[in-house]
Amino acid sequence: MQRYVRLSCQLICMATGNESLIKDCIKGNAKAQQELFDSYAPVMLGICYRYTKSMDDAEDVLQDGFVQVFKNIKQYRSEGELGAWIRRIMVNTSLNFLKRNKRYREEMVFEDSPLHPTVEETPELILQAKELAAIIRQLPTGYQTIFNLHAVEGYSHVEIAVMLGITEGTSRSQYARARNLLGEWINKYNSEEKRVRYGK
Amino acid sequence: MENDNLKKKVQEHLSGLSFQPSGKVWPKVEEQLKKEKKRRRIIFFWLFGGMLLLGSGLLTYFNYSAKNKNIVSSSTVKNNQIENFPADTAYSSVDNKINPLQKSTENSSNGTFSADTLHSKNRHKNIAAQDAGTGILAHQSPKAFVTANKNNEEVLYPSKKKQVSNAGKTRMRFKPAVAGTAAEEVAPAVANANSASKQTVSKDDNTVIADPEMNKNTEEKKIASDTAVVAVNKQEAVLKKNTDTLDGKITEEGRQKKKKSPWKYSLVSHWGISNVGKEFLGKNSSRFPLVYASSSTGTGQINILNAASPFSKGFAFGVGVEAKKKINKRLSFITGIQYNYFSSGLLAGDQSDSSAANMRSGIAFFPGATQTYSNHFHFISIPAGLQARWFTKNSFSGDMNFGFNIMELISTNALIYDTAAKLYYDKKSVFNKTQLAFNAGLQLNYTLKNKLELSAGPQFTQGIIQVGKDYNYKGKYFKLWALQVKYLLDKKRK
Repeated sequence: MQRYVRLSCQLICMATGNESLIKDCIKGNAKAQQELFDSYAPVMLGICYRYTKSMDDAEDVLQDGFVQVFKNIKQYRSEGELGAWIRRIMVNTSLNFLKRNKRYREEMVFEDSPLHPTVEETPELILQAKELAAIIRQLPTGYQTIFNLHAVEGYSHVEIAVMLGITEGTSRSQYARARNLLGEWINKYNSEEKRVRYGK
Repeated sequence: MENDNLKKKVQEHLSGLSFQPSGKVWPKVEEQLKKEKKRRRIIFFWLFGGMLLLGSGLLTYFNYSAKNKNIVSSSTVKNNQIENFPADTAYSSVDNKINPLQKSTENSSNGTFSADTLHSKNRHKNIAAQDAGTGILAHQSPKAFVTANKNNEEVLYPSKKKQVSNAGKTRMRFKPAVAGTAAEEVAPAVANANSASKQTVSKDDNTVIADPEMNKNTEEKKIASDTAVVAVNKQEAVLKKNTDTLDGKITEEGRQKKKKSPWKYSLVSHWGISNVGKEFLGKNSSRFPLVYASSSTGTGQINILNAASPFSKGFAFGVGVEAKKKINKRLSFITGIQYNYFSSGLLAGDQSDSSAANMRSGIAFFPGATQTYSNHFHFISIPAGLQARWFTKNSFSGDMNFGFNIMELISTNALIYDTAAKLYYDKKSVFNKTQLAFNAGLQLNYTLKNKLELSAGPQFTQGIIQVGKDYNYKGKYFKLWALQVKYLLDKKRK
């Protein structure tokens, strides 16, 4: 409950004081930049965390992402929400990081395999957000990326295909595999959790 | 599958996912931003330096012609000072024999006119001639000179006039012919300065000739005056020679330099790659190659892909005439007129239906990535810059050039991306019609057998004014990397 209150307060602050903050950031005011960073960094680190395998990498992406934010903040038009704009930059910086980093690049092999049958039943999510994120990070990088882009960010498979330079079918099959694997792991986690909780 | 519950549950669960970043992230961000600032400062420093150099070059160029004039006048003054010595000696050699009065006259005249210009030499010549003959007629020519040179009138006229009036009555009686001859001989020089002086001289002549007293002059005086005339002629010759060697040399050099450095015209052409860059003098490729406009926004709440496509490189070329003028041995000023074509590509979707296109008076495209659209920009440009020679070896020579290009956009088909309409369409008013660009390059020149020159080398152009005032062109600049080829039209003079 406390967390939701904190988050909603943060969002209200973001919505109200943004204009002057952006103007100051455009001027290159370091204080304003730090203020903007402090406001958005925790949420954005959450995004970076989902795409990477370690917190260090996530922080590296966050750092690069915020440098891009401050360099391009002039181009931000107040039509949309600033948070969404920064989020977009973070997602793209994460993807660029995955492509640039050899370790991730080697893991991101997208095989054009036939569509994997999807398990219809949806696992119960009794786990916390951080735990869920940690499970998603256990997925192979390709699955992880596609799952994040489709399930969390809401991109369509056509868009993901263009973004990653793969076919739509590959994106779909990779997502299905990721979903099945994740469902399996979540169910396993749930049963283990129940066992621990209820001593079964 | 699109309606799977897992997706919804995951979205709900992860929407509030946040972590507090460690304390080292912000200092790193700050450091990187500082580096970026420093880089931009360096770029501006170079630009400023370039402009300063260009300015100083232009200043040197414009001062050059003025300096030539100054050299002429200053050397004239020097000549006066130098040449007065032999002149004085000549006077005194004649003077000792004939007229002791001359020296005082001459001294006074020297004192008065030492700093005068070329005319003063002629005045001295007159003085010498007249002194030699009469010691008094000397003042007639200064008078003539004074008439010729209005600037000196106030300084010269009163004292000279007085002397003429004092001495003229007695001494004008002898030596009319000599005085006339002397005056006549010197007259052309004076007359060159002003025809009025000639009139005065001839008037003086007539006056002298009309004087009956003149006939009473003895042969001795005639001989003396003849000697004086010869001396004066010699003096004049010396003066003339000195003028040629000192004054003349410098002015002649200046003239020759001027003759040697006329405008030289070349046919210029370049071919290369152009782009519309996101950063001023920065890397060309977009940092977000995956951000492009899309017709679909996905199932998520964030409209992530409603953004313009990044630009890709395109072909560029230019043709024109370049005019070059030498400032000094190494530096030349270059200008001219050119036609420049720039292009850049962007990803667009399908072409919109006619109604959408008609609404915007032209073609319109949906966002997407189904095709690459090529933006064409046509410019007429006037370059202005400096070219410096950095080596010459046999038939080869190397130049480097830098300067600015004022470019006027004459037409374009470039598409802008309207995030509100979610459409690409052409809107010419968005573009800055007058562009300013910095350019720099290197050239390798080869002198052909027929003394014609062929040059080639890389050129770089970076826009200083943003391509557009708004939309996806705001904060973006033209960039060009090209190979320039030049053909000097003017044959080299030997």
